[in-house]
Amino acid sequence: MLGTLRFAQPTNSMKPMDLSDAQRDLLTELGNISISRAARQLSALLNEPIRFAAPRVDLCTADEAAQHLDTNDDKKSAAMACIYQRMSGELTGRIALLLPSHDSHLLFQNLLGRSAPLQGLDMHAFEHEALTEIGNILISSCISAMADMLQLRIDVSVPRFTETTAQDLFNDAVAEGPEQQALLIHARLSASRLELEGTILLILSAAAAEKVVFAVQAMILAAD
Amino acid sequence: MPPEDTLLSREALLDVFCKETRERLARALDCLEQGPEACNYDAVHQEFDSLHGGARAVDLPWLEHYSRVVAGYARFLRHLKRGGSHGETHALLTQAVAALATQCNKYPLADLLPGPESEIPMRELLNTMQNLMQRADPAELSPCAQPTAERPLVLLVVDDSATSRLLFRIHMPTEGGHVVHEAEDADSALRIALEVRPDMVFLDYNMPDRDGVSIARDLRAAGLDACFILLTANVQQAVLDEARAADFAGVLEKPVSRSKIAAVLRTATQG
Repeated sequence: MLGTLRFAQPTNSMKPMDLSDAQRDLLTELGNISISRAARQLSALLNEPIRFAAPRVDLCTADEAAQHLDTNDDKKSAAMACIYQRMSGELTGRIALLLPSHDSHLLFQNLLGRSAPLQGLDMHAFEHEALTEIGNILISSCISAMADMLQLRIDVSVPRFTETTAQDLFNDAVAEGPEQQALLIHARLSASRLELEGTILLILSAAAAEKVVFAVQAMILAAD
Repeated sequence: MPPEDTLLSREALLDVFCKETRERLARALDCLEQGPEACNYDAVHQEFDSLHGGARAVDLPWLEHYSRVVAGYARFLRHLKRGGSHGETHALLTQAVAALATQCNKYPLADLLPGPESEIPMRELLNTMQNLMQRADPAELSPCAQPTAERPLVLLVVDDSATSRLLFRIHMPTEGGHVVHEAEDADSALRIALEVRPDMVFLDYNMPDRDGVSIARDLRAAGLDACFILLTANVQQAVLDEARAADFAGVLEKPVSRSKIAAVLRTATQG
């Protein structure tokens, strides 16, 4: 898989929020439901079933996320398609969908590439525009699931597209403040004609990350 | 532009189009001669809506614009309550249709272009119609007219994403002959809405600078009487509540599909 983001398995040093097992379990379920919602929308876009494995969810500082990029894998410097939106409301920060460039191109080809409406169109710009809208749909479906489960209102800005590397992305987040937290939901989605390995990344302020943990804890208490 | 592989030349297409246009204008003038009380404005709107599509197909931008404004003005008159000024507003529509009919009868069929002596009066007519529509007091308009299934609907899709608008067009059901217009921002939404007087407006929730709910408020304040549908992938409960509070008739969840659009149209037309 070209340009795949690979993170080391969480270690003891990646537990700045000191999550309990119950909290980590619920956060994973939150990620699972969010990805399920995104997979449903992707299935509607592509008009075919989407399979996905249970996603892996990590919550750590942006600095640690950058540190724990698999250093044995030089793919960390490979180009990624990144569709990102700013979050506001009761949860502030940024949310991004990261796809290896090869995967994002395949996604575009499967959705619209064969029915490009105009000859002479700037196909590169059209692909970016299309990926921005696809990313918007997938991110919004994840955010909707999270907002409803956490009982938080989360607004998102208009989506933006950029081509970046995982390393640069985390470096930017760290530069905004070493206390920035990263909530990562890694998922592998597959359809008959393509396989995507994507990551939903939330960069949260320390206060916003605490709000997420607080909401998760409230859900656990409500269930008891 | 017409498709490159069309079997007809542009001249041949224009010949056919001009003949149709003359017939449409004659039918519209027949309706208008009935006077403001008896005139079937829906029929006038339908003629100009079709003319608008035809002008686009044969690549006559000035006629595309002219017919769009006149079609919107006909719908505007349909929604106006009968009042003292109705005779004047009706006369303006008659003038606009008659001016175009004069053009069509005056110039060679394959060269349907506005002549220099008539272009300015036609432009003034357009400006007057647009000003009247923009200045209309919402209180003078009839209550929200429910779209009915008996006639094709005029839809307006407002979304900054070209891909989203493309997907809407691809999935739009063809049954019913509904007409879809597009706008990419709040300003063009207001302009086009006042021109075409849509039955339904599909508004993207998340757009640069503005959200769909606030744009709907502006359109209503400008006197637009339409059924509003929120278009969004962000279906969290808080957004749905906001749409309900803003009197949206429904939510169309992205990605759109043919069945989702059909369901929204069915709900809207059946009340």
